[in-house]
Amino acid sequence: MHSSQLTIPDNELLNHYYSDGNSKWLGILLQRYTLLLFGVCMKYLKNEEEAKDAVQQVFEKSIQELGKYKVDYFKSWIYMVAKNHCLMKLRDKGKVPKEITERMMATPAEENNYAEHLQKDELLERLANSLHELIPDQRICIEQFYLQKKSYIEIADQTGFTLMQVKSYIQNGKRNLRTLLLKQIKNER
Amino acid sequence: MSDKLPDILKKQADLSEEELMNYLAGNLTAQERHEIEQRLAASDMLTDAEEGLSQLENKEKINVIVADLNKQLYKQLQQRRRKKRRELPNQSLILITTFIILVLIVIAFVVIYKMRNG
Repeated sequence: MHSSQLTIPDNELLNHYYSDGNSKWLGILLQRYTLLLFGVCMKYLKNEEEAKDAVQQVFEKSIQELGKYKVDYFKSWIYMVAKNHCLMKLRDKGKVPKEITERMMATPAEENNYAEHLQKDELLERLANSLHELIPDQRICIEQFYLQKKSYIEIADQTGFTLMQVKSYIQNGKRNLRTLLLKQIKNER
Repeated sequence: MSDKLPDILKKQADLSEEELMNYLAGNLTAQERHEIEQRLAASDMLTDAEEGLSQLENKEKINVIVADLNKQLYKQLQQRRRKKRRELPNQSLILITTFIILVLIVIAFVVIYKMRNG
């Protein structure tokens, strides 16, 4: 791969593909996500061979779908394609873990930059208030991670939670904080 | 309340493959780990990928797997290109055949019309 191609943003690669139909652009784009896709499929399928097959199927699906319609946020889109593919596989096997269904409900949209809409003081106050509305486990992990700058392992050591629980509390806590903030902003409009 | 709170909502830079692999290999200081973890926590996809990759006991295998998958991807794209090329002559054949049939119908119509009208 040419080194200049490594720096082309995802949406530009997609635009090149949409304008000339050359699949080499898709190759460059999809290769960027091979490692992440394999990781995502490993997380849900928990089997190396199945995860490898799943990545190939996700590639196949992406190649077909991208030829049919325009995708704006490629990273979010391919992540949803991979997650849904894994969920279907698990459904076929009759096992859909609770943690997956909870994550599947999350919106894949790009991160909203709330900080742009609020003054720093106001944002701080709102965040501090919302933090207290989180369940205690999520609040403890969020505080230790973002305020005390501790790593996952340090938080796990201090709280007695497993590493998985720490990650999950931080991730879900963050999502809940965003939802709470969004709700506050919507209520004011 | 600390002014570090907005970090929760801050958009973080993506991780490179190298950074993610170093994190998985555990070759980082506590501060570097935390920095990477903040970037991981900012993206559901990165969080899931890190969780999945950390399940592999032999982390060195990851590079081989990724290289294999990329090779497969290249093959998939080549097959698609070949299929596209094969489809094109088929389409032109259909068009040419349709055109010839239409011309024959018009000629037949003209001949019959002339025969009837002397």
